[in-house]
Amino acid sequence: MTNSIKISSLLGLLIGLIGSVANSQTVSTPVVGFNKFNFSAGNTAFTATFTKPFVFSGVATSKSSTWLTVSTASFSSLGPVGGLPTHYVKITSGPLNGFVFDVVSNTGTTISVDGDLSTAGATPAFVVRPHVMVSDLFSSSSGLTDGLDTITVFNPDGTSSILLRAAADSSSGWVNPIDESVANAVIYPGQGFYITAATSGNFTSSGQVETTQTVVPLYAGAINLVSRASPSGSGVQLGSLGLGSGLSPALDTVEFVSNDGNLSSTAVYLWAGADGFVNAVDESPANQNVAGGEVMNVTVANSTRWIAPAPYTP
Amino acid sequence: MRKLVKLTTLSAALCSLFAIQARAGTVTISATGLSSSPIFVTSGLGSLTVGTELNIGYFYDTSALTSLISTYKAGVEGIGNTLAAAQTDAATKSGLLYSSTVGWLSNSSNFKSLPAAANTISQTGGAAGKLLFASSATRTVNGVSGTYAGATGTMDVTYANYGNSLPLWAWVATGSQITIVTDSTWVIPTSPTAGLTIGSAALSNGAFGTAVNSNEILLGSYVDYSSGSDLVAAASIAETYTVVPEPSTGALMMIGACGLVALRRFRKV
Repeated sequence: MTNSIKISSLLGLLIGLIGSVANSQTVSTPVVGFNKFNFSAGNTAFTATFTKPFVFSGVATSKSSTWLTVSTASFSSLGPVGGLPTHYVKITSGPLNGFVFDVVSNTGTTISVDGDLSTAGATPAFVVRPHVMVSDLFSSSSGLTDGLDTITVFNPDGTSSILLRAAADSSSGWVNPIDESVANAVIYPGQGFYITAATSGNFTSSGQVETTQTVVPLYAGAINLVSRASPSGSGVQLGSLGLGSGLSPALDTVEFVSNDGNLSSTAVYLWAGADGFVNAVDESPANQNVAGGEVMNVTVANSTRWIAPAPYTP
Repeated sequence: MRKLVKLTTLSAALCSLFAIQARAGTVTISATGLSSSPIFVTSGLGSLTVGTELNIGYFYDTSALTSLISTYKAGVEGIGNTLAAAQTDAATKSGLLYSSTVGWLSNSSNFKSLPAAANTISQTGGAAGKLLFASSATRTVNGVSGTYAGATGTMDVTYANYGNSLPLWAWVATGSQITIVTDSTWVIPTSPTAGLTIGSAALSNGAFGTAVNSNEILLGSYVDYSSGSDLVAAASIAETYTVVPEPSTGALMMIGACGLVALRRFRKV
């Protein structure tokens, strides 16, 4: 997996704007850019390293366990469409800071979500963003073969969802291989997926860089492909990602795989509690850099979560 | 305490590694003529019957498979006193050759089936432990729209039950005709969770589109059209007829007369 990074308007623009704003409020311009990912023939793991621009950012004026209200808002339709959620709410303050909830319905001022907001505080801050879909990532891809190439997304219940490439027969570019109906899938923040391709090619993740922490769920009995979801090419030590804090010592593992199309296991680390991550074979301390778009396969004995740090903090 | 943690850690590590090895991957089947990829059809280029089985798996002895295919391709010779009798004889021999070939292909000591050992199979209109040409779709073949049976679905397969990088074949038996194909990309993945697509789109009609690729279409033929879906046609059994005329009554009387003459001459001596 090689990628080319271009973050336009990046820090220079951000710093320039901050410097030019002469009032007491903090104003930040979203950092935008793209990653172009190259995939090999065979199987390769990827993630989305950018989010879509938010359609709302603010503070709830009231809430219940399942909905948020902003009395002055005028939300347009936030999905779902065709059984798939199209938008998500991400809490950005309080006890549930970083939690992501699918939008299940909305009015002009109220958003109902799939999940429990009971402990989110009385008036949590939140953003609403459109989901990144498989169709978004591969809208300008190359090298995919109709009727052969697939995307695999792993579900919380241990099952997987397969999309078969059919650019000539589907509005999304993908079909369900079971019945050939038009198909699409959500790539949740921090979630990885597999590409199975007959030949090499590339695709592009573009949009805004996430600036807040993200809570990534880890499910027992499921394949959890997760990532930092960062466009940055520089690595961060595995032990510095905060991943271990939610794991069960001496039970849960993090596996790294090759990106040459074989998905060969390159390293497996065991969470050893106070000893940090250790090599699962010889118990030597882990010395593993994790690149921004690198996908990890986390196996957990009990469902838990990882509070993934923000890729970029203004 | 430290030792206890170490032991626990090691045993857990081993458990984790075994758990990783036991995971399964998804095999996607795509043989429906989707996006103009080839469709499996009969030797007469007609649609397969819905419900025909698509067999996917591994042959233990490829030399024996090659020999089997050669025998099948050689066909049968019908022998009889009349053309009709020769044709009947050929039909009987064809039936026996077809049955013995399918019997060999189906034998679990020759062929390890993926669907038979799959953890789950997801296919609309499918059957337990089998992958079928279960769906019908309208496809355009050589400018003509028609309905063709196709096979599509997914299987959850534990690759560890087979072995890394083993090549796979697909074969279809229609009741009188057989197709056997393979592709270099149809191999058991090295990663236990990787995906694998057995798609007819991988089958080509040979280098530069000029000739049937004998490395892929082992039994059957690739029908390449300039537009729409191509076809992979099943191979029927070639029949030749040898007629051995029954002696006529006149010929028999002549033979008898010759015998009498010979007897007289023998007695004179």
